[in-house]
Amino acid sequence: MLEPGCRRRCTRPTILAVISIAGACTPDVGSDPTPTAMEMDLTATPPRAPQPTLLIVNPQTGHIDFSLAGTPIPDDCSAQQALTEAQCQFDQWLQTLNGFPSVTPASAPASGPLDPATLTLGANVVAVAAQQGTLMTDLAARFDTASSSLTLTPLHPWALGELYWIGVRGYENGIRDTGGGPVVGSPTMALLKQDASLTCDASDPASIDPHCPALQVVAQGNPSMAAKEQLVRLEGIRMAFIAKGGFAAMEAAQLPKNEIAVLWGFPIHTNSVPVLVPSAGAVPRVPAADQILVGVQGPVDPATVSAFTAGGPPGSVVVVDLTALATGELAAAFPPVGATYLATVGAIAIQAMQPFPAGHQIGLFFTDAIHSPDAAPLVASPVSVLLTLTAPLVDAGGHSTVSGVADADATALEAGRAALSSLFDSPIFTPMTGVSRANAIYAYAFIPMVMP
Amino acid sequence: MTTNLRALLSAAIVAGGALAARPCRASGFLIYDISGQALARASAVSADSEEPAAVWFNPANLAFMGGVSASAGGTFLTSKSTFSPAGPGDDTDSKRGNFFLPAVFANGRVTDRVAVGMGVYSTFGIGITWPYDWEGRVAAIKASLQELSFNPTVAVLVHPSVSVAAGFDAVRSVVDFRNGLPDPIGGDVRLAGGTWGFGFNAAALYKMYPGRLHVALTYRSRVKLDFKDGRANFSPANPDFAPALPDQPGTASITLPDIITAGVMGRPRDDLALTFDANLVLWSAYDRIDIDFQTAPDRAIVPNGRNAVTLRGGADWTFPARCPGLHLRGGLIYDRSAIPSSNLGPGLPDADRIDVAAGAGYGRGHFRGDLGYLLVVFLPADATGGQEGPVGTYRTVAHLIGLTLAATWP
Repeated sequence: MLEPGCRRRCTRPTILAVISIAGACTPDVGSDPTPTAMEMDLTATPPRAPQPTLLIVNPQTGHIDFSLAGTPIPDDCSAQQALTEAQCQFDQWLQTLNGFPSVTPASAPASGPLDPATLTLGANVVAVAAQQGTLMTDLAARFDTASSSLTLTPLHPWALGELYWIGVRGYENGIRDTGGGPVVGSPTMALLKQDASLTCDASDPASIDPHCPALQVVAQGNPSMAAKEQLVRLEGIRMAFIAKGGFAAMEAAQLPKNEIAVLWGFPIHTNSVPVLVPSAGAVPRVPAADQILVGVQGPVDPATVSAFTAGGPPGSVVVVDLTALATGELAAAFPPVGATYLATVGAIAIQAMQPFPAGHQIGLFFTDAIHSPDAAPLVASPVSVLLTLTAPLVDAGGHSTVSGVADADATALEAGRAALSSLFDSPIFTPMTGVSRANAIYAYAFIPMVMP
Repeated sequence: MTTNLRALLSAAIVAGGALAARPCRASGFLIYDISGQALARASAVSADSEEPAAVWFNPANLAFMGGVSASAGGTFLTSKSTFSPAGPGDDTDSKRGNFFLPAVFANGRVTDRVAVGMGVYSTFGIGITWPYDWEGRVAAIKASLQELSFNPTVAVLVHPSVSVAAGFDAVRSVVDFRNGLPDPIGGDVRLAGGTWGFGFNAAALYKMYPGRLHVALTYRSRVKLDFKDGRANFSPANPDFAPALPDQPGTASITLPDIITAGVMGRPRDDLALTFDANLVLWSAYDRIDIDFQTAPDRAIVPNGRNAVTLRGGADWTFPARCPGLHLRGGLIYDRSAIPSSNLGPGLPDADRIDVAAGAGYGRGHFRGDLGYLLVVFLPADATGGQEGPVGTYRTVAHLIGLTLAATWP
């Protein structure tokens, strides 16, 4: 036993010494802030990557194919849980296209908020029409907080059949996050920017050298066949970016490879399309009380444009007075109209015999019997597709059930979809007019108001 | 317990704390030679240790030591390794490492049959730094494991010729590793952490013919070091990888091996003691280190350690007539590599070793000083696996100088 005095004298320094030893010598390794990144994770489910993207255009079929992203779309949307039914139906439609809709916004996810002031078109955000070789400036670039994405909305539709490349300048000379920090790329993008083969020139997974540098990165220290297969896929993407001129297009636009934080490309479908973007004001125009013009992007064979008349031959343009139809006035529900294609204004003109009744809601329907001069059928615009889906566009909580469609837009469209749904589901409409969900390329209901 | 002894033990603990608070230095992995007196005899002293450092070499000796003793000192170690690639390419030299391993001991007799001792010392350590951009950078740029043991022990004379001892080991250890990240990531990751581990030891000494022939047996248990509070700082050169490799916690476990030592001392003449020790170090406990990061890819270091024997022979001459208190010492060591060629890496470029020791000591009155030198020649060691580092040959030379100052009160 220690004497009380010594206990204080001896024990205290001993305890202090032991405590100091316990904390001593552990080096401070420091800590670095994690920079904001433009994301491209193709292995996430669903992939978190820029879109639209040519990576899901099947080179064999030439059509969009979600199975290339590991998220195949089932044939029966009602018998799956992975997607909302509306999303599934919408994606099924997308897979019928040989490119993306011309009104599709482009977006690239970011790991944090970006400073909008640095999203300068042509400088930090470079969009190039590859075939025309032109720098795109008629875009609106913004940071969408809800999706944490850089979003580019075309002020005019993307050109049909065009391939677009969009690159974002990062690092010291590029965009900034809201904290003023530089924005970097992703590991995937870093690999895609490599000049040498990611597979060390191996063409199949089994023959990749285990010491191949990119495999060490992808395999994360555990080279497996899955990692090798992933590497082969990445090498295919890298080669596609080179072959389709992505990096070259950016270089020509003064965005060198080493400053690219993210790069993606996407094709626009080649088919002509009647334009319908209510949120952007792209709706039918009413120059006179008896005339409606519907703009069409792309050429149209005038011979395929014809109006439906009750009791007459089937037509590719159907006009329905929905107000009259609702009151049971069948004779007035299908007003006699003529339909022609006006090449000079790029619109399908609907000329009524009488002015449309004031305050009546008019429904317009086009079928895929309308072709372009090369005999390719027109395709629907996304809004028309949404209006013809059988599944609701909003859930019980009022949220959109289709990605990329804002809640407010979905709510507004849902009212029209529900109204049109009763029309499509009626036993007489399709047999009578020949317009069905399957062949409708345009569906819109509105109250015409003359705006010369 | 006398007041003197309490003061000495307290001083030893405080001194240990002061030493540990300085930048920690260590090298190699098992650095058995931590006393100037023992080092000069190739540390073949388990059966013939009459200094406070017997707490480490064989605490059963304490039961035969009278009075109260204390010692302080340490070992200065300098080493340098060279890697020669198997293929074309220039040799790469590691940065010369200079380290100081502190050692403070105290012991005292409590009763006629019971003695206690306390040691604060460092006997395990890794310390090597390679050029930042060398070819084995992904395996190791810097590897450092520092350790400080706190070892109280009790020795009991169970028979006039036989003593036994048991002790407790509290081991503070700190690791600090820096590895290169593979291309095309580039840059490096630094992982550091500190932890405590615990073990025990037991020993016996039989003086078959006291002063003429002694035999000894000691055992030190393995000590598992769980680094649960590690921190990793990833610094990728390619900034695109920075978000995927944020700085984060990491964990790892390293097991310090068991050590079993058998020793014998024979004194053919009054002025000459010959000693021989054999250590069996169970390096099989050091087989795999899994570094688990919170989100970054985990990493495994697989040294695949194998049990290894170290043979030590030493001699101690005295000159009682011409120069009382003077000791001249010498020794030889053969140390078998603990890491097989297939798993050899630059973090611990182990090899079979041949050591040559020499030294002297002088004591007068209550005080004495001992100085020892050990030349450690690592035989060329081929790394053949390619998984733990580049394929090639490592060559290492190390020099150890030990100095111990001791005081004894009857």
